[in-house]
Amino acid sequence: MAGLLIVMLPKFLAIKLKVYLPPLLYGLFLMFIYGAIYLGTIYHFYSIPYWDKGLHLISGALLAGFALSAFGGLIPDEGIKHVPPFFISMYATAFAVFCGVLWEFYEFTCDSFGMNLQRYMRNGHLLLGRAALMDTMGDLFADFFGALIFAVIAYFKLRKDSRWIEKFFFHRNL
Amino acid sequence: MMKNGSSTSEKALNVFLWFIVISMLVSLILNYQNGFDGCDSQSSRGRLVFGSGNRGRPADRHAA
Repeated sequence: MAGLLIVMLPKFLAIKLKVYLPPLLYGLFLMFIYGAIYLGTIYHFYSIPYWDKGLHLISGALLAGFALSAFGGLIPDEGIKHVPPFFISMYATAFAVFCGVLWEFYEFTCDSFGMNLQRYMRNGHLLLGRAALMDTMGDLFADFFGALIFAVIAYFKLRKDSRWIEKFFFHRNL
Repeated sequence: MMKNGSSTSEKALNVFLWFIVISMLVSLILNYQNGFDGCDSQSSRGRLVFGSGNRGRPADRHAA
Protein backbone atom coordinates (compact mmCIF):
# COMPACT_ATOMS: atom_id res chain seq x y z
CA MET A 1 0.00 0.00 0.00
CA ALA A 2 2.84 2.36 0.93
CA GLY A 3 4.49 1.46 -2.37
CA LEU A 4 1.38 2.55 -4.25
CA LEU A 5 1.40 5.90 -2.49
CA ILE A 6 5.12 6.42 -3.08
CA VAL A 7 4.82 5.63 -6.77
CA MET A 8 1.83 7.96 -7.24
CA LEU A 9 3.10 10.84 -5.11
CA PRO A 10 5.43 12.62 -7.58
CA LYS A 11 2.84 12.51 -10.36
CA PHE A 12 0.11 13.71 -8.00
CA LEU A 13 2.26 16.59 -6.73
CA ALA A 14 3.33 17.50 -10.27
CA ILE A 15 -0.29 17.76 -11.39
CA LYS A 16 -1.45 19.54 -8.24
CA LEU A 17 1.38 22.08 -8.15
CA LYS A 18 1.60 22.31 -11.96
CA VAL A 19 5.27 21.35 -11.92
CA TYR A 20 7.20 19.81 -14.82
CA LEU A 21 8.52 16.40 -13.80
CA PRO A 22 11.85 15.63 -15.52
CA PRO A 23 11.07 12.43 -17.49
CA LEU A 24 14.51 10.81 -17.14
CA LEU A 25 14.53 11.37 -13.41
CA TYR A 26 10.98 10.13 -13.02
CA GLY A 27 11.74 7.08 -15.18
CA LEU A 28 14.68 6.13 -12.95
CA PHE A 29 12.49 6.70 -9.88
CA LEU A 30 9.78 4.39 -11.24
CA MET A 31 12.36 1.73 -12.12
CA PHE A 32 13.79 1.93 -8.62
CA ILE A 33 10.42 1.70 -6.90
CA TYR A 34 9.35 -1.16 -9.17
CA GLY A 35 12.55 -3.07 -8.41
CA ALA A 36 12.70 -2.30 -4.70
CA ILE A 37 9.08 -2.43 -3.60
CA TYR A 38 7.15 -4.45 -6.16
CA LEU A 39 9.69 -7.05 -7.25
CA GLY A 40 11.96 -6.82 -4.21
CA THR A 41 9.54 -6.72 -1.31
CA ILE A 42 6.39 -8.35 -2.67
CA TYR A 43 8.03 -11.00 -4.84
CA HIS A 44 11.21 -11.47 -2.78
CA PHE A 45 13.59 -10.61 -5.61
CA TYR A 46 16.13 -9.63 -2.97
CA SER A 47 16.96 -13.33 -2.79
CA ILE A 48 18.44 -13.04 -6.29
CA PRO A 49 22.18 -12.45 -5.92
CA TYR A 50 23.17 -8.84 -6.51
CA TRP A 51 19.55 -7.63 -6.88
CA ASP A 52 20.24 -5.15 -4.11
CA LYS A 53 23.39 -3.98 -5.89
CA GLY A 54 21.46 -3.42 -9.11
CA LEU A 55 19.05 -1.21 -7.20
CA HIS A 56 21.94 0.74 -5.70
CA LEU A 57 23.24 1.22 -9.24
CA ILE A 58 19.89 2.70 -10.30
CA SER A 59 19.64 4.84 -7.17
CA GLY A 60 23.17 6.15 -7.79
CA ALA A 61 22.14 7.34 -11.24
CA LEU A 62 18.84 8.68 -9.89
CA LEU A 63 20.58 10.68 -7.18
CA ALA A 64 23.15 12.01 -9.64
CA GLY A 65 20.23 13.17 -11.80
CA PHE A 66 18.61 14.75 -8.78
CA ALA A 67 21.90 16.54 -8.11
CA LEU A 68 21.46 18.27 -11.49
CA SER A 69 17.94 19.31 -10.47
CA ALA A 70 19.26 20.76 -7.21
CA PHE A 71 22.02 22.49 -9.18
CA GLY A 72 19.40 24.21 -11.31
CA GLY A 73 17.46 25.26 -8.26
CA LEU A 74 20.44 26.66 -6.38
CA ILE A 75 22.53 28.34 -9.08
CA PRO A 76 21.16 31.40 -10.90
CA ASP A 77 20.35 30.82 -14.60
CA GLU A 78 23.11 33.04 -15.91
CA GLY A 79 25.68 31.30 -13.70
CA ILE A 80 24.97 27.78 -14.96
CA LYS A 81 26.43 28.48 -18.41
CA HIS A 82 29.80 29.34 -16.87
CA VAL A 83 30.19 26.14 -14.85
CA PRO A 84 32.39 23.59 -16.67
CA PRO A 85 30.73 20.23 -17.51
CA PHE A 86 33.49 18.36 -15.70
CA PHE A 87 32.69 20.16 -12.45
CA ILE A 88 28.96 19.44 -12.81
CA SER A 89 29.68 15.74 -13.43
CA MET A 90 32.02 15.59 -10.48
CA TYR A 91 29.47 17.32 -8.25
CA ALA A 92 26.70 14.92 -9.38
CA THR A 93 28.88 11.89 -8.55
CA ALA A 94 29.87 13.33 -5.17
CA PHE A 95 26.25 14.15 -4.31
CA ALA A 96 25.06 10.63 -5.14
CA VAL A 97 27.85 8.95 -3.19
CA PHE A 98 27.17 11.26 -0.24
CA CYS A 99 23.51 10.21 -0.25
CA GLY A 100 24.67 6.58 -0.42
CA VAL A 101 26.81 7.18 2.65
CA LEU A 102 23.80 8.70 4.45
CA TRP A 103 21.85 5.55 3.59
CA GLU A 104 24.59 3.42 5.11
CA PHE A 105 24.46 5.63 8.23
CA TYR A 106 20.75 4.85 8.40
CA GLU A 107 21.42 1.11 8.04
CA PHE A 108 24.14 1.24 10.68
CA THR A 109 21.82 3.08 13.07
CA CYS A 110 19.05 0.52 12.52
CA ASP A 111 21.55 -2.28 13.13
CA SER A 112 22.21 -0.76 16.55
CA PHE A 113 18.64 -1.76 17.36
CA GLY A 114 19.11 -5.42 16.52
CA MET A 115 18.61 -5.41 12.76
CA ASN A 116 20.94 -6.86 10.15
CA LEU A 117 20.65 -4.34 7.32
CA GLN A 118 24.39 -4.18 6.76
CA ARG A 119 24.62 -7.97 6.69
CA TYR A 120 27.21 -8.09 9.44
CA MET A 121 25.69 -11.33 10.71
CA ARG A 122 25.01 -14.67 9.02
CA ASN A 123 23.16 -17.64 10.49
CA GLY A 124 23.09 -15.79 13.81
CA HIS A 125 26.89 -15.49 13.91
CA LEU A 126 28.81 -12.25 13.62
CA LEU A 127 30.96 -11.97 10.50
CA LEU A 128 34.53 -10.87 10.95
CA GLY A 129 36.86 -8.51 9.10
CA ARG A 130 36.23 -7.90 5.42
CA ALA A 131 33.30 -10.34 5.35
CA ALA A 132 31.32 -8.01 7.61
CA LEU A 133 32.13 -5.06 5.35
CA MET A 134 31.15 -6.71 2.07
CA ASP A 135 27.52 -5.58 1.91
CA THR A 136 28.20 -1.98 2.92
CA MET A 137 31.16 -1.58 0.60
CA GLY A 138 29.31 -3.32 -2.24
CA ASP A 139 26.40 -0.90 -1.82
CA LEU A 140 28.72 2.10 -1.87
CA PHE A 141 30.57 0.81 -4.93
CA ALA A 142 27.25 0.27 -6.71
CA ASP A 143 26.11 3.80 -5.77
CA PHE A 144 29.38 5.17 -7.06
CA PHE A 145 29.33 3.28 -10.36
CA GLY A 146 25.68 4.17 -10.99
CA ALA A 147 26.49 7.82 -10.40
CA LEU A 148 29.68 7.60 -12.45
CA ILE A 149 27.92 6.12 -15.47
CA PHE A 150 25.36 8.92 -15.26
CA ALA A 151 28.07 11.57 -14.76
CA VAL A 152 30.09 10.40 -17.78
CA ILE A 153 26.99 10.56 -19.99
CA ALA A 154 26.14 13.97 -18.48
CA TYR A 155 29.66 15.21 -19.17
CA PHE A 156 29.52 14.43 -22.88
CA LYS A 157 25.97 15.72 -23.22
CA LEU A 158 26.86 18.97 -21.44
CA ARG A 159 29.99 19.42 -23.51
CA LYS A 160 27.85 19.23 -26.63
CA ASP A 161 25.04 21.42 -25.29
CA SER A 162 25.16 23.28 -21.97
CA ARG A 163 21.36 23.54 -21.95
CA TRP A 164 21.03 19.75 -21.63
CA ILE A 165 21.04 20.18 -17.83
CA GLU A 166 17.69 21.98 -18.07
CA LYS A 167 16.06 18.62 -18.79
CA PHE A 168 16.51 17.91 -15.08
CA PHE A 169 15.05 21.13 -13.75
CA PHE A 170 11.71 21.16 -12.00
CA HIS A 171 9.84 24.19 -13.21
CA ARG A 172 6.31 25.48 -13.34
CA ASN A 173 4.22 24.36 -16.29
CA LEU A 174 2.99 27.46 -18.07
CA MET B 1 13.75 26.69 -20.18
CA MET B 2 12.88 23.41 -21.81
CA LYS B 3 9.67 22.92 -23.68
CA ASN B 4 6.98 21.43 -21.47
CA GLY B 5 7.07 17.71 -21.83
CA SER B 6 8.36 15.77 -24.77
CA SER B 7 5.13 13.87 -25.29
CA THR B 8 6.58 10.47 -26.25
CA SER B 9 8.67 10.03 -23.13
CA GLU B 10 5.87 11.37 -20.93
CA LYS B 11 3.41 8.93 -22.49
CA ALA B 12 5.85 6.06 -22.01
CA LEU B 13 6.33 7.04 -18.38
CA ASN B 14 2.58 7.26 -17.83
CA VAL B 15 2.19 3.76 -19.28
CA PHE B 16 4.97 2.50 -17.00
CA LEU B 17 3.37 4.24 -14.01
CA TRP B 18 -0.02 2.64 -14.68
CA PHE B 19 1.65 -0.72 -15.24
CA ILE B 20 3.25 -0.48 -11.80
CA VAL B 21 0.06 0.77 -10.12
CA ILE B 22 -2.05 -2.00 -11.68
CA SER B 23 0.55 -4.69 -10.86
CA MET B 24 0.66 -3.52 -7.27
CA LEU B 25 -3.12 -3.43 -7.00
CA VAL B 26 -3.43 -6.91 -8.48
CA SER B 27 -0.86 -8.34 -6.07
CA LEU B 28 -2.57 -6.54 -3.18
CA ILE B 29 -5.93 -8.06 -4.12
CA LEU B 30 -4.37 -11.51 -4.59
CA ASN B 31 -2.68 -11.23 -1.23
CA TYR B 32 -5.98 -10.39 0.45
CA GLN B 33 -7.68 -13.28 -1.33
CA ASN B 34 -5.02 -15.75 -0.27
CA GLY B 35 -5.03 -14.51 3.29
CA PHE B 36 -1.66 -12.87 2.77
CA ASP B 37 -0.25 -16.21 1.75
CA GLY B 38 2.29 -14.49 -0.46
CA CYS B 39 4.37 -12.04 1.48
CA ASP B 40 3.24 -12.51 5.04
CA SER B 41 3.24 -16.28 5.28
CA GLN B 42 6.90 -16.30 6.26
CA SER B 43 6.24 -14.13 9.28
CA SER B 44 3.29 -16.29 10.31
CA ARG B 45 5.57 -19.32 10.20
CA GLY B 46 8.07 -17.46 12.29
CA ARG B 47 10.67 -17.30 9.54
CA LEU B 48 10.76 -13.55 9.20
CA VAL B 49 12.89 -12.74 12.16
CA PHE B 50 13.37 -9.30 13.59
CA GLY B 51 16.82 -8.33 12.57
CA SER B 52 16.61 -9.70 9.07
CA GLY B 53 16.16 -6.22 7.68
CA ASN B 54 13.07 -4.21 6.89
CA ARG B 55 13.64 -3.88 3.17
CA GLY B 56 11.91 -7.05 2.24
CA ARG B 57 15.04 -9.07 2.16
CA PRO B 58 14.26 -12.72 2.79
CA ALA B 59 14.74 -13.71 6.35
CA ASP B 60 17.82 -15.54 7.39
CA ARG B 61 16.11 -18.88 7.83
CA HIS B 62 18.76 -20.45 9.97
CA ALA B 63 18.62 -17.59 12.42
CA ALA B 64 14.96 -18.19 13.27
